[in-house]
Parts: sequence; C-alpha cells; structure tokens
Amino acid sequence: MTEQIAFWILSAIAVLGALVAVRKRNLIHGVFALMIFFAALSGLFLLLLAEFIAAAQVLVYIGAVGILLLFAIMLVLVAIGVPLVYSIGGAAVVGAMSMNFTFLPSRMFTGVESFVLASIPFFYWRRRFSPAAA
Amino acid sequence: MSLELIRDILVATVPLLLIFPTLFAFTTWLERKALARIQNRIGPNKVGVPLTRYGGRFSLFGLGQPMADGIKMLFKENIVPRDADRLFHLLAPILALIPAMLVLCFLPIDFPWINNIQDSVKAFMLDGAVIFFFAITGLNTLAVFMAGWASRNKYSLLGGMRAIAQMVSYEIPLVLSAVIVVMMVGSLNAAEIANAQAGWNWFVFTPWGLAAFIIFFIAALAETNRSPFDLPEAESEIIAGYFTEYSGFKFALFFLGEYIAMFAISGLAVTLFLGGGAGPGVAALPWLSVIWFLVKIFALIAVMIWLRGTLPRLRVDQLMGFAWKFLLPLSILNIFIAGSALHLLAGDRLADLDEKQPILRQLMEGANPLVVAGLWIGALLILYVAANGLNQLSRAKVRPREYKYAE
Amino acid sequence: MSLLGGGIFKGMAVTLRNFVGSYFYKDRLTTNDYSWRPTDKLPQHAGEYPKEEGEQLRDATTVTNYSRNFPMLLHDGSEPMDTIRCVACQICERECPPQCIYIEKSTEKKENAGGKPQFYPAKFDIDVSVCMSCQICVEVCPFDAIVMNSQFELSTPDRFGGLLLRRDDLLKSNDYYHNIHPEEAAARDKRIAEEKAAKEAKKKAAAEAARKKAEEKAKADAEASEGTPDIQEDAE
Repeated sequence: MTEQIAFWILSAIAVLGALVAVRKRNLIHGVFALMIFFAALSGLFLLLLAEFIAAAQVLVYIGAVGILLLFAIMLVLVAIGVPLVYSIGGAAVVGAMSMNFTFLPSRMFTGVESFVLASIPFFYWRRRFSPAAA
Repeated sequence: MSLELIRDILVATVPLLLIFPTLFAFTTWLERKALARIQNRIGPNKVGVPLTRYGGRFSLFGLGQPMADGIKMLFKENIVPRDADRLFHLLAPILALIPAMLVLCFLPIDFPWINNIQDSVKAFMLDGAVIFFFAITGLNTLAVFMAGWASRNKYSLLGGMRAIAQMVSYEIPLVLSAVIVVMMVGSLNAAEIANAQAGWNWFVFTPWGLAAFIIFFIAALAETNRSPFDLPEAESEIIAGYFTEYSGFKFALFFLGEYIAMFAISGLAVTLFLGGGAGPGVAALPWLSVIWFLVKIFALIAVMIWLRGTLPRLRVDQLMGFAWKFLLPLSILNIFIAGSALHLLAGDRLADLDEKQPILRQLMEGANPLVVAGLWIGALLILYVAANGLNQLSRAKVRPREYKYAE
Repeated sequence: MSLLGGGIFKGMAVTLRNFVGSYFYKDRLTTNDYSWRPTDKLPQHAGEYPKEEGEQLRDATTVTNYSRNFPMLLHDGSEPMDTIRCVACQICERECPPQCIYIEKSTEKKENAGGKPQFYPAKFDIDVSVCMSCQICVEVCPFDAIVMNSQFELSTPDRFGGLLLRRDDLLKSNDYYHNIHPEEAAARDKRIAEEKAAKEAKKKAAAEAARKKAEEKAKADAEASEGTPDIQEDAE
C-alpha cells in the first residue's frame, strides 16, 4: 500500500518536473526542474529495490550531467533569460560536447569533402582577378 | 502506512535532528576557542547565559556564544537583492542543508533506541549505503550553484563556479579512496564495513588504507570548503563567494549545512577507515560504541580545526592542480596496489573466498606472516615513492628565487 | 629527502605548542580582558560624557598605557579655557585625512598660560565616527595641544550628534594625560621644557651677542672720537 502511494507521488513529481523543464522560459529554472525529475526517477528506482542504480542515477545525472548542463549554459550564454533561439544554440553545443568524440574528425572530414564546397574559392578568385571586373 | 512504521521512522530520524545540531553549536564554540588559543588570544568568553543582565557574572567560558549567535542571526534583516531570483535565493540554503542532514542517517551509529525498529528503516543497512552517501553529498554542488546564480551578482557567480569546480574535482579522489575499503570488505553496506573492523582491524592500519585515509581526509576538507581549501568562502576572496548576498538566517543555514556536512564526512571517514565504533570495552558495554564513534568524529573535527589554524589558503590553480595531478593519480595507484596486494595475499585461495564475509579478514586469517609483512612494507615504499614523484612532477615550474635587493 | 608533507606536520606541531602554551603562559595572550562593568555606570544618553576626570580615569585605567582611541585637547591648569594650548592654527584640520576636525577661530585674542595673547578655538569639533585614529593631527601640532586619548566607552544611541565631540568634551588636563600615558606625557613635557630652555638660551645668547656688539661699537666709537682731538692738536 505504501509502495503505491510512493509510486504515485514520485511519478507525479517526475512528470511535473519534466513538464516544467521543457516549458520554462528561464533556462536555469528549467535545468533545476530537470534535476527534480532526475531525483524522482531515483526514487522510482529505489521503489524497484534497485539501490545501486538509484544511487548511480543521483551521482551521475544530478551530480555530473546536471552540473555539466549548468556549466555549459553558463559558459555559452551571456545574458540571463535568453530567448529560445539562443538556448537552442546552447543545447546544440551541449549536445556536441556529449557526443562520441572518436567520430568527430571523420565526420568533419566527410562534411567538407565536397567538390561544390571546394569550388567556392575559385568563383571568388575569378571575380577578383578577372580583368572585366576591374 | 502503519503507525509502527511512522514511529520507526521518527525514532530513526528525530534523534539525529536533535543531537547533531547541538553538536554543531558546541563545535562552533570549540572552533572559535581553539583557533583563538592557537593564535595567542582568548576566544569568546563573555556570553554565559544570554538575554539576562548577569551575562558577565556567570560567563561559563563563553558557552552561550552559539546561542547568542543564533539569536542574532534570527534578528537580522533578511535582505534579498532586488533583481535576484527570489525562489532560488530562498531554496539554496535549504538545498544546502538537506543533503548534509539526510546523509547523517547513513552512518552506522548503534544508538540504543535503534535496535528495536525494523531493518527497512535503518538507512545504513541499505546495500548501497556508501554510494548513496557520495551521491547525496554531490547535491551540495547544486545548492552552491543555485546560491551563486540566484544572487544576481557576478562575483557570487564566479565564486559559485569556483566552488563547484573545487567540489567536483575533489569528489573523485574521495570516491576512489572509498573504493579501497569496498575492495577490502566486498560490500557497500555501511554496517558491514563497520563490523568488519571490529577489534583492532581498522583499515587505517593497512598501508593502502592509510594512504586512502589521508587522501579521503584531504578531499573531505575540500568538499566541505574548510581550510586550506576555503577559497569559496574566505572573506578576502570575492567578499564571501557564493553567499555574499545572504544575510541573517539564510546565512546561518549555510553555516549549519557546512558544519553538518563536516560531521557527516567525518562520520563516513570513521566508518570506512577508523573502525566506526570499535574500541576498547565495546564487547562488554554495547552502548560504548556510540561514545567511541562520537569521540572519533570529534577527533577528526579537532584535526580539521587544527589544520585550519595552521595552514594558509590554497590558490584556486594550486587547489585544482593538487586534485587532478596529485590526489587522483595517487588514488588510482592506491587501488592498483590494494588489488595486487589482495591478489598476492589470496594466492590460490581465490576460489573459495566467501563473498558474504569481509574479504580482507578472510585473507589475513590464513596468511603467512612473512608474506604479510613483505606486502605491507612493499606497499608503503611504493606509495611513498609514488607520492614523492607525483609531488615533484606536479610542482610549479619556477626557477629558484633570486633576491635582487636583499642580501 | 625530507618526509612528504613534513612541513605540514611541523606547522601543526607549532600550533599545538601555541595552543597548549596559551594555557600555561598567560602573558603571551594579547587580549586585554577588561573587567566586566555594571551597566549603570556607562553613559546612558548622548552627550552625557563623564564630566569629572575621576570617572574617566576609571575607564582609562582598565587599558594599558599604550592604547589609543581618539584625540583630546590639552590644557595646563585648573581652568580649561584659560590655559588651553590650542591656538586654532588649523594645521590639524588641514592635515586630517578624513577631514573630521572642524575648527572655528575666535575673533579676539586672549592670554593663555604662557602669558602671550593668542587666538583660541571658538569651536573645535571632532567627528569620531569618521576619525581613523591615525594621529597625524598629533604629529603636526606645533603647540602640543592635541594628543590621543584612550577613552573607549563612547557608545551612544544617537548616531549623528552623539558621535560629534565638541571642544569642551575634548579638553582634558595635562595631569590626566600623565595619568593615562605616563611615558609619552613625560617625554613630551621634557621635550617642551628642553625647547623652551633652548629658546631661552638662544635668546640670551642673542642678547649677549647684541650687547657685546653694542659694547664694541661703543668702544669703537669712543676710540674713533678720541682719535680726532690728537690730530687737531697737531694741527694747532
């Protein structure tokens, strides 16, 4: 019986936290709501008697990922209460930072390995050095 | 939600909420007196019984000072900066206090009243108690960031960032030193770890345990922002760092949180390394283990206060360099040494080790004393040489000082 | 190679020695533990400074004779305004770094202890909430009129008027000065006496020199006037 009550309370907190996290205009408030969500998840893990996972959830998500998000927001964004478009940019940076780094050089290379891209300088030089444009 | 469960929960938690804040008040008094005596002055000795006219007559060595400080903090004006985030400004000290208080439940102190309640309420009986401890002390970083951010003050924010960087970097050696103990016991259960050191088999008497204890203690000093790592809260550094904008009772809550965190981490150090309640006379009088536990916590707190009176503050780059270039490699090396020592001790008995019993004790029972002595000395030598080497490597590359004008 | 972390242990040994020693060697404690005073003897209202010097002495003798707090004006006799040393030259007002001294010179001169007619300060206010006890006013005063007091019980509920010490509050006798700072007062008096003696000696020496010069001039004149009749006699 108590497990049921605990489950419903924790789930409610988790859902509320997640909703607040995606709806809040202030980014830092959103991140804190996300951490509440992580904490509620940890509680749910405890209910399933998975103690280690619960502890690891708090340790890794709140203690590491949450702090990483906060640091990233801090270092990338300068103003407080930024509009959505800048926060998307911030999220992109955070996403890039959490990606697998081993593929990064190959992706960068394949990204620029394109004749069309490489030919752009030639158009510029033609315009610059052609006698007609003098 | 039966009545018995509620009663058990209250019995498990309320005494801790009563005992440790009282110890906190006593510790603030002790710290001020001890620091004063170290600095050749008397500490507070005027406040005996506050709110009476006879304060001076019965001065009681200034024992009323914490009470007077608490009353003063309550009466101070609660200033919140105009543009600050009011909700988070309020939440941050609460969030700084909650992990410290929560983590006190995980300490395996055998209070007499705890024996009669059901096992599911005893938090230290959790199979993952030690890792829960570290997980919850990690919530302190969140509170610090909240405090620094919500003050809407660049300097608070910078102070908060520096504090978080310090806390996060010192969490790693902290956890890695605890891993040594977990290796020696084979379980994350705090009660089992404490019981594995019954008698005089404290883990601090093994060479890797000693190194781990020293690393743990240094990292604990840094986690709770104590000298010499008190850069985030020193008065000459960015005013007061992340709690610049806090006045009155919120500041008192931060203060309380810091001291209770000190108690909690000392309690963990006692549990992991110093035997946790083991001491002479425990077999005869079981409640003596509580006294021994508290005495050991106080011994560690006394050493913390002593270090505060002795050492100058570390600069932030020295602090970070110390964590990443010295403590971290040393703790990893320590894990290797402990593992190889255990392996060498086990030899061919590896298969028939009982996993439910403390590992080290089983290994030591049937071991050759010469092998044990050799391992001890070898481990000590390797650790000492490695520490020296790391020290030389991580020193700042400066030329020897040239004095141009002095002779 | 010295023990790793040996410096820390040495430091801890030093502090432990300090800690234990502070219980046994009480003279190394720098705190001056003044005896607790009953509340009815402290000034209760603004401006209610202890008027007689006996009360101030009780305050001042509980500190050592090296302690300083805020300035005071000196007078040399029993009637303060007749023997005040300050001549309102306003040098201390100009030199005071936080500019906490406010002086208004009197419009006519009055005889002071030295017999000479001097100006005196009609108003001499020091704002002790601003004064930083730097003693520059003491250093620059050419008349040794302002020195440092050690009275510290200056708390008052009025944070504006109560902390402005006026001339009459600041005037203290030279005997009081000797009482609270015996060595400094004795040294100051000695210096004043020596300067006075040196001035006297110089004046006397100048008078001597002038007299001698006058004598010689008279002798020279006499010789000069004596010389001429001889010539006249020869001419006759």
